Amino acid sequence: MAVVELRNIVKRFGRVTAVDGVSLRIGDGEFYILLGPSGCGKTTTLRIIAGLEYPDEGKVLIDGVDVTNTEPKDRDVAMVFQNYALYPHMTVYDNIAFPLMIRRKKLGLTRSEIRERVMEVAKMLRIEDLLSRKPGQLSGGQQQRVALARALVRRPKVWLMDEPLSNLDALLRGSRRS
Amino acid sequence: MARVRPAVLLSTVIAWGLAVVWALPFIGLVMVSLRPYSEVLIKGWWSIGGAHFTLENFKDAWSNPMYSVERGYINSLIVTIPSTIAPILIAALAAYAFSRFSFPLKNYLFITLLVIMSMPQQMSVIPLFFMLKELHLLDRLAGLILVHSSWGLAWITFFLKNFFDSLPREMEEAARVDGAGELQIFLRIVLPASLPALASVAAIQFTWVWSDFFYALMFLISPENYVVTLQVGTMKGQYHLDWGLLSAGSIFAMLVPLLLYAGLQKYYVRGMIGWTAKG
Ligand SMILES: Nc1ncnc2c1ncn2[C@@H]1O[C@H](COP(=O)(O)OP(=O)(O)OP(=O)(O)O)[C@@H](O)[C@H]1O
Ligand SMILES: [Mg+2]
Repeated sequence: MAVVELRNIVKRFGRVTAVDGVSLRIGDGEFYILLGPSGCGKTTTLRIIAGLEYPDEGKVLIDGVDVTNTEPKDRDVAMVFQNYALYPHMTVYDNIAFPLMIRRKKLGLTRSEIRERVMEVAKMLRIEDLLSRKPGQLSGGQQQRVALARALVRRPKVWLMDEPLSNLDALLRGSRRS
Repeated sequence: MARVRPAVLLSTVIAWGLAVVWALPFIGLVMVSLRPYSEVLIKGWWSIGGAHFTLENFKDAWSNPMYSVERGYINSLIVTIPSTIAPILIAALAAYAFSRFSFPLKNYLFITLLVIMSMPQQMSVIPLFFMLKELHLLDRLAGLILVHSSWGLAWITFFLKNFFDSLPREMEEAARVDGAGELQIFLRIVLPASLPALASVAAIQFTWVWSDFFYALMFLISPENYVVTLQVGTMKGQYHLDWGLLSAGSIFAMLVPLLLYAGLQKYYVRGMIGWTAKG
């Protein structure tokens, strides 16, 4: 985990100012929630932290390092997308394992260690029965849990979650909190 | 008893009528190919009473040294397989670039592509002939492969660009955040997620190249280089026309694309169900 700092972030899409001078500091290990009406710029702010959008003004710092112009893959950030963005051609298992497989060498993980970690999050999110299905064969809530699992399986500096619980039933929410 | 509405009945009858009319020439072809020619000549292929069925025509067509379909098959495969794979690989890269990146002259390049697509083959044949001659690729299967591959590039790029445009960007962005580089995203996410589209492109390009007669006729000269479509052409003797033989040859020639479609059709359906993620 790490410290995330936004300094005066401004992002415009043509005439629309999606993010207007946001500054914030999220402490190490802190659980921080952005609340706001639809269209106020929550997703855009997360995308800027992830490196998927570059701000027109301002700076993004992770652990004191200026990453404003760093590529997403070099930021060590995990993200759950609002529309899940699962890989449609891969099974649930391969979806969850993807972030570990793609950097297996760098992370120094063996296949069995990856399997262990995938099973661990799958159990936590109660999707262990779905591992061999494709995303197209899942309900909305199940897809969302797979997207969540794909982020939780990593040990990144920052977890970004764009409305990660909107589709989860209350029962599961309870078990996530405990 | 369930009552059938007249409109439904009528449209069913019309649909079946059209299907039969559509399939009739093919049925005729099969009948002629399966029966001794003398019998077909006297009775007509539609008279089934007392018909004899034989595979003689197929055996003869396949292995007669004068016009062996076997030789043509091998040449056709040598030409068609690389002419399907190579342009798809190259065009997929180009299409991805057109779909996702911005670079100088992008729009002009894309318009050029459209212009190339709208050109009739006949217009290019003379320059191509001399080009191949210069390259010493005339009357060589390699030359024909080159021509078919380049010809396929334009429409495959266009087709795949449209498909890539329809893929959700978030999928690639998720991979980017997960640590994948550009090439990994292309090879491990975009290409596999596009398999149904790639299968359609492969089927169309394969069929097109396999069934091509015109380019093969122009650029292949020696009979030992003939592809199967040309080979079938040679079965038509100068004075004597054996329709049975010719029919068998034609069926051989269309068998491969037919099997390909039959095989891939299942795959399309599976692809469509398994691939599209609900939002
Ligand atoms: N790529 C884009 N091009 C143009 N405008 C955009 C783009 N992305 C976002 N916007 C605009 O920026 C504003 C903020 O969008 P954003 O998606 O960040 O909102 P949000 O807070 O996540 O909303 P929601 O709760 O509905 O998800 C909106 O007005 C949106 O229309
Ligand atoms: Mg949003």
